[in-house]
Amino acid sequence: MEIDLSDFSSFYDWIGSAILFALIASLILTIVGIVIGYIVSGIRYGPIEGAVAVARGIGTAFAHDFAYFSLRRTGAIAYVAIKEAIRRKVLVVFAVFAIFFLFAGFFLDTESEHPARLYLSFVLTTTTFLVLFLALFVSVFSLPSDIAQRTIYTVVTKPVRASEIVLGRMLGFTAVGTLILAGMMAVSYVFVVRGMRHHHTVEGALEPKTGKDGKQEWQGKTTRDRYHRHKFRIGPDGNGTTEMVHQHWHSVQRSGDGKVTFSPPRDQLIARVPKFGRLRFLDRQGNPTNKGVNVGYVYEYRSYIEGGTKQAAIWTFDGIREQDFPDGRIALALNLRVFRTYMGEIKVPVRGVLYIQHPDPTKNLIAEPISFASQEFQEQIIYIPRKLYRYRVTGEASEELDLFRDLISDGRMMIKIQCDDNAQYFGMAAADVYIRMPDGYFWFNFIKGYIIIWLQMVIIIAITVMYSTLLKSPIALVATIVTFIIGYWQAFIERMAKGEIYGGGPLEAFIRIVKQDNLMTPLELKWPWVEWTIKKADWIFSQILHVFSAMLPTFRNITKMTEFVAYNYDIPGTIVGRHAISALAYVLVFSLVGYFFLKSREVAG
Amino acid sequence: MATDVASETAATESTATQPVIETQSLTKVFRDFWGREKVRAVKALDLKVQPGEIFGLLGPNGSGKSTTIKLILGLLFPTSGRALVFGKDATDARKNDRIGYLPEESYLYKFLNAEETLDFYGRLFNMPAAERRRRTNELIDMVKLNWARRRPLREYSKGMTRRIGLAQALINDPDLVLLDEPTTGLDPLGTDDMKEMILELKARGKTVVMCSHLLPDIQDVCDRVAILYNGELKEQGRLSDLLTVKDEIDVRLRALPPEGRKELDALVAKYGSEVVHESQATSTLKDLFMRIVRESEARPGKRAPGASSSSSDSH
Repeated sequence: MEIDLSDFSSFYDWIGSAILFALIASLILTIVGIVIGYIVSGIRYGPIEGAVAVARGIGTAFAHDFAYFSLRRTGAIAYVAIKEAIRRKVLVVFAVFAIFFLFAGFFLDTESEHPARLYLSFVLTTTTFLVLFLALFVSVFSLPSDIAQRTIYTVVTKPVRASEIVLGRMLGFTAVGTLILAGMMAVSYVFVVRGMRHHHTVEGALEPKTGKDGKQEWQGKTTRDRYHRHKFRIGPDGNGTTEMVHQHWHSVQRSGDGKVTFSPPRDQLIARVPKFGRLRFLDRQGNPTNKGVNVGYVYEYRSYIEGGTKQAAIWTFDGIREQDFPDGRIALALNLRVFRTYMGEIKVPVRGVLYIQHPDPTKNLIAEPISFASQEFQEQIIYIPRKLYRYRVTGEASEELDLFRDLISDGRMMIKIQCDDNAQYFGMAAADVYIRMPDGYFWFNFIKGYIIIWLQMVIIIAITVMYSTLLKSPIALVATIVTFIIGYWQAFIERMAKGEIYGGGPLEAFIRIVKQDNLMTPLELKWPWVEWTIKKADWIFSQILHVFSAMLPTFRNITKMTEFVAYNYDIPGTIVGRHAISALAYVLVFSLVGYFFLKSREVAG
Repeated sequence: MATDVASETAATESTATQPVIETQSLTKVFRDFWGREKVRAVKALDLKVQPGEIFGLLGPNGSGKSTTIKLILGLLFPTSGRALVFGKDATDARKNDRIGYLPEESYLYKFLNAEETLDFYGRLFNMPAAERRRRTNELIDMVKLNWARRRPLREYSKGMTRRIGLAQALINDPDLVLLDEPTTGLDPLGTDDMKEMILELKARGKTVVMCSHLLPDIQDVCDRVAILYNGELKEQGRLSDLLTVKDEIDVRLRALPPEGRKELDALVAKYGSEVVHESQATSTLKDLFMRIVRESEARPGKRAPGASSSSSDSH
C-alpha cells in the first residue's frame, strides 16, 4: 500500500491551501457561470436585456430566494424524496448486497496470507460500489421524472425556492443512502468479525523441551482451522504464544493438569496508529541529498540505499511526547524493501543498523546502533528501549542515555538507517518507517472507513441532483459518470496537461490507434500543419480538462482512505475532518449550480 | 343575482385597485433545438384580471390557454412582454404565497395519500404543523374525501384525484386560484360541485381564473371571459355583455292555446318584428341525468320513476 504523506499534513497547513483553492475555483466557476448565463440570455433577449436578466437572476437569488430559505419546505421536499426512493425499491440493492455476502466464500481466496485484509477489502469495495450506484440511480431519475410527469407543476407553483428543491432532494437521498449504508456497515462488520473468528486445539501431543535455564518448556502445533495452523511454544510459567500466521497469533496457556487453551486471534483486526516522519538521504560519501539510488524501477515511490557505504536514510519525527508511551519504549515499525544485486544465501536476511541520534548535529550525540535483520514483505517492529548507551569510540567510557531526556529534543527524534551488507540495497519511502502509537479501536476505524464511503456517496448525490436539474435522466447519468471519472483520474489528467503522457492527447491517441502506431514513436504525419493542428487542439483540450478536473473532488484520494482500514491502519480523525469539510464545500457548490440550472430553465415543456 | 351584484361591485372597485393579473404584450414562441420557430403559442396578449372576479379563458384546443396560465405561473418564461401577478413578476416565487393552482390533470405524487399530500403542500407554504392539520381536515371535508383520506392517490378515480387536486390548490387559502380545465373528467355531479365551489370562492372574495373549452361551464360561473384563438385574443369582456343579443328576446311559454298563438303572431306582425327561431321546448340531457341521480339517491334500488316518461317524451 502506498501512503501519500501530504494526506497527513497538519489540518492547519491544509485548511489554508484548501481555502485558497476554494476561492480560486469559486472565482473561475462564477466567471464561467456568468459568461454562459449571459450568452444564453443574450441569445434569448438580446445583448442589453440579456445582461439585465443575468443581473436580475443573481439579484433575486440572494434577495428573494436564499434570504427566505426555509428548513420546513426543504424538509418536505426531502420527505417526498425519501418516500419516492423507497417506492422505487432501493432496498433491492440491499438484497444484492446480501447475496454477494452469502456467496462470498466462492470467490474469496481462503488460503490468503492476509485474510483480514482480503475480507476488509472485499466488504469495503462491495459497499462502495453498491452505494455509489445506488446514490446515482436513486437521484438521477427523480427530478427529471417529476418534470416529465409534471408533478413539478404543483410544487414550483408553491412558494418553494429552487434552492430548496435541490437541497431537499440531496438531503432526502442522502438520508436513504445513509440508512442503507448503515445497514451494510453492520452486516459487513459481523461478516468480517465472524469470518475471522476461529479456535484451535493442540494437534497431537505437546513436545517437552528443556529451556536455556534448564526449566521445562513445551512446543507443539495447533490443529488446522480456517485453512492454517500455528506452531507454538509454552514457557515454564505455562504461558506462551503461537507464531504469526495469516496476520495473527494466539496466546497459549497450559494449566496445571496439562490442558492447553488458545486465545481468540490477536492483532488481526486492529487499527495501527502510525506517526510518520520526514525522510531525507545521505549519499555514498555521507553528504545530504533528497533522493537515494534508483535501482532501475521506472516507478519511483521508493528510493534505495546501498549497503556498506555511507548512504543512509534519515527520518525526523516530530511531536513525540513521553506520556504517549506508557511502557517507556517506542515501537518503530519497519517496512523496508530489499533489492539484492546478488542472490547470496537467499534465506539469510539482509542486515541493517538503526541509529538514534540527537536532532542537533552539533551535540554529536548518538546512541549505540541497533542491528536488525530485514524481513522482506512483512512489517517488523523494533522496540527502542528507554535506556540506551552512547555510541562511543573504542576506549571511551560507557555513558547511559535516556531516550526521552537525552535523545529527543522538543519532541523531535531522528533515526538513521543503513544497510550493512555490501552491494545489497534497502528501499524505502517516507511512510515505510513509522512510530507505532498505541492502537486505536478497530470498530471505530471501521466506522471511519464507512464515513469516508458516505462522504463519497454524498458528493455523488450532489453531482447527480445538480445535473438532473438541467438534463434528462440518461444524459445526467452519463454526465455524472464522466464527472466521476475525470475527478478520479485527476492525477493522470494533470500529467496529460503537462505533456508527460506518452502518446499525446485524445486526437493524437486516436490517430495512433488508427495507424496502429506505438506510443513511444514520434507522430509522423504527411503534412506538418495537420500534426501542428492536432497537437494544438489536444493541448487546448487537455488544459480545459485539467482546469475542470482540478476543481472536482479527488475521488481517488477519498477511495484510498478505505484501504487504510483494510491494511489495519487507523484513519486519522483529521483526514476524516478534511474530507468532510471538502465534501460539504462541494455539496454547497453543486447545490448552487443546481439552483441556477433549475432557476434558469422552464419546467413546463 | 346576488353574485352578479357582488361581481359588479368588485369590478367597479377594481378600477381603483391593482389588477391581480396583468399581462403586457405577452408573447411565447416555442422553438426547436436549432432555435427555429416552431409555434407562436401566445401573441402579444394584454389581459387584466381584477380582484374578486371569475375570469374565464376559453378557446379551442391549442389556442394558447394553458400556455397563458403557465406563463402567469412562471412555469414558462415569456419570449417577450411580461406577466405580473399581484404586481410581481411571474417568475418571482414570492407571488406563490397567495396563489392556488389546479393543473389540467392533477399532477400529484401518487404514492402519497390524501392527508400526506395536503400536509406536504402545506409544508411548502411553511405552515406550522397544527395549522396544517386543521387545514387538511377542513379541505378533506370540503372535497368530500373523508372516507378515502388514508388511501394512496394511485388508487383514486379521476374525479377523486380532481377533488384532492382542488384541495391542494386551496391549502394556503389563496387570494387567486388558477384552474386549468377544472371540470374535465368530472361527471355532471362533480362538475356541479366544482362550479359551486368556484362560486363559493368568489363569494369569499377570491379571484378565480379558469380556462376551459367546455363552454357551458364557463358560462355558468364566469363574470368575464377572454376568447383566444391561435394564440391571439379575439374577444374580452363581461359575459353578460358579450352574450346579450341586444334586439332579440327569448320567450318560452307553457299551455298556449291556438287562439293565443294567433294573437301572438298578430302582435309580432303589428310591431314589424320577426320570429327568428321557434321550436318545441325540450329538457337537456344534463337535466334528465341530474334528476335521475337525485331520485336514485332518494330511493336507492328502484328504477327512477320519471326516467321512462322523460325518455319517451324526448322521442
